[in-house]
Amino acid sequence: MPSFSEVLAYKFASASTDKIDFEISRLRDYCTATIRSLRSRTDAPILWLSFEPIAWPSYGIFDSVSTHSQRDIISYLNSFLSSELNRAGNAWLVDTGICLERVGASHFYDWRYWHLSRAPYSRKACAEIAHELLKHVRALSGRVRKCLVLDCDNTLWGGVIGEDGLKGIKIGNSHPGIAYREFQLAVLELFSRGVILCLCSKNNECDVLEVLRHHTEMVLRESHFSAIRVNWRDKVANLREIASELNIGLDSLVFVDDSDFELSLVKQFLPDIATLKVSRDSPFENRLVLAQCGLFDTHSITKEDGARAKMYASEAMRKQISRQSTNLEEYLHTLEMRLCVAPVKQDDLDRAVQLCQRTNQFNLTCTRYTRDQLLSLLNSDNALLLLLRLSDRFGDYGTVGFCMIKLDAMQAHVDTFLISCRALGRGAESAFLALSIEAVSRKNVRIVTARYVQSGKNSQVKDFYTKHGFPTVSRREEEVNYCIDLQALRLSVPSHFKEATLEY
Amino acid sequence: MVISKILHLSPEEIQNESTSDSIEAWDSLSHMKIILALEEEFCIRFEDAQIGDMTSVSKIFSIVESKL
Repeated sequence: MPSFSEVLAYKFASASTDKIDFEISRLRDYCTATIRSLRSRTDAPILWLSFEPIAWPSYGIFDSVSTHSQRDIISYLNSFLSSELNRAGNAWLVDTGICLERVGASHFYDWRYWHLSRAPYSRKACAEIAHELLKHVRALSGRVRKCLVLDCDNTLWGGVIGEDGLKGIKIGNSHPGIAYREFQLAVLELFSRGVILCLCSKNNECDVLEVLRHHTEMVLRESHFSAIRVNWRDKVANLREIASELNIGLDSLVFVDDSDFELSLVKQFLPDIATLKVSRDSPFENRLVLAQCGLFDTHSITKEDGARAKMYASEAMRKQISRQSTNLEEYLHTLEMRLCVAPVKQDDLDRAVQLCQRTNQFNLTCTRYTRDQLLSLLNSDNALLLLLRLSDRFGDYGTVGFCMIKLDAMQAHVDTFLISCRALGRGAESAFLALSIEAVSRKNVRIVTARYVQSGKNSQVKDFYTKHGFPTVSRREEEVNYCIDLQALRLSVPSHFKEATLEY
Repeated sequence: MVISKILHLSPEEIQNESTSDSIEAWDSLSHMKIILALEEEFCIRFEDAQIGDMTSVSKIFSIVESKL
């Protein structure tokens, strides 16, 4: 702040009201002009460090009751900045105020550097700001973790269940169990945001299940976990299995343990998995280990996110039915699935962006469209943006597929076609393609073209268009192009869907 | 060693007589980095005036020594 405005930082009490008002509008104009000028030159994401709150206001304790508060002006400028960035699109305010609160204002600045080189921040402050920036960059590059895999003994509770027994382990509302209870509450916060939970621990499964089912102080229960691997095998094998069972990449996992042995084993053999160490000696810090990591942070949280972890849990029930059915077709019939394809509306745009950013496996081209790009396509007449919703008798999967078809005279080009991995293996992809093409056929289209671009993770869909009757017209190393006369396409919704609607 | 590491130079390229003017890589940012690194290495904290005075290797030596 001092570098930005001497009037607001140092002369607040001495300056006239006019002078201060002038300074506020100067800063507003500066922000607006800078953001506009940046945006006119590039679509790249903009990260803007907010103005820091003033820890020692000029009017001292009077500042908080004053109608003309120095601190209020700073927060006003920050909310102004935030709305300008929001308007520019693909631009975010990085909250330096929250960094200052964490470090503490007395440790946040090193005035010697400020006086010498106009660099006000201490080393601690720089580290905290850098970490906050990293969280934004991670979210922007789509490297967001989806699943938290937890150890049990000395992680979820204090002590060893196999030795200490149900009554001996530490978990509860008073010391020392409270540290573990608060850790579990932090896990539950992540679950409510949509983070999938799993267990991976070396115990007797029955001991752990007894705690999950019957210990009165537990926050987390069996129903919160989407995969449980409690056995005596090595954790590397168990983690691999968890990823494949949930149909997510290893780079979506975060593994938490108190044992250096387990953590370094995982780091060595599964470097894609992020690891967090909780402390056996100072468990009171463990809640913060989770709260500070930022590994699951994203720029938007949709209602799908909130429900996701629950959907994974109901998946376990589906699996049970699947074992009872004799063949897949019969099983799919018993699910009583319903799907609905509808154009993207303003309200769904965030979910469409999220699908574009995050879907890796069932994604034909893996073009990572930003919110702005999709918004301008949505407002144009040259593109059709469709979303797929899916539900079955166990619950709602939510919005699980996105398709974008570009229209050019009588030609339609399937630019993007993707389905979230939690909806795979149910024939939804064939139904979605059939209904998307049906939507296009109402547009006087004659020719349909499509494209597969290899990305490293999407090899399972390399034959998708071929299987659905699209002839190949050209093939380069990483790219295959398809083209077909609309009349020649024979697509249909598989018969096991109880209901399939196209709201178009 | 601390100074050469930050300036990305070999220790031989830095003499006692070297100053911030004689070494091109020794700009204001490197100056701050050197100070931070020395404070961390020797667990000391320089006064404002000392930071301004640390413009040559020999001056740095004497200031650091006075702190130990």
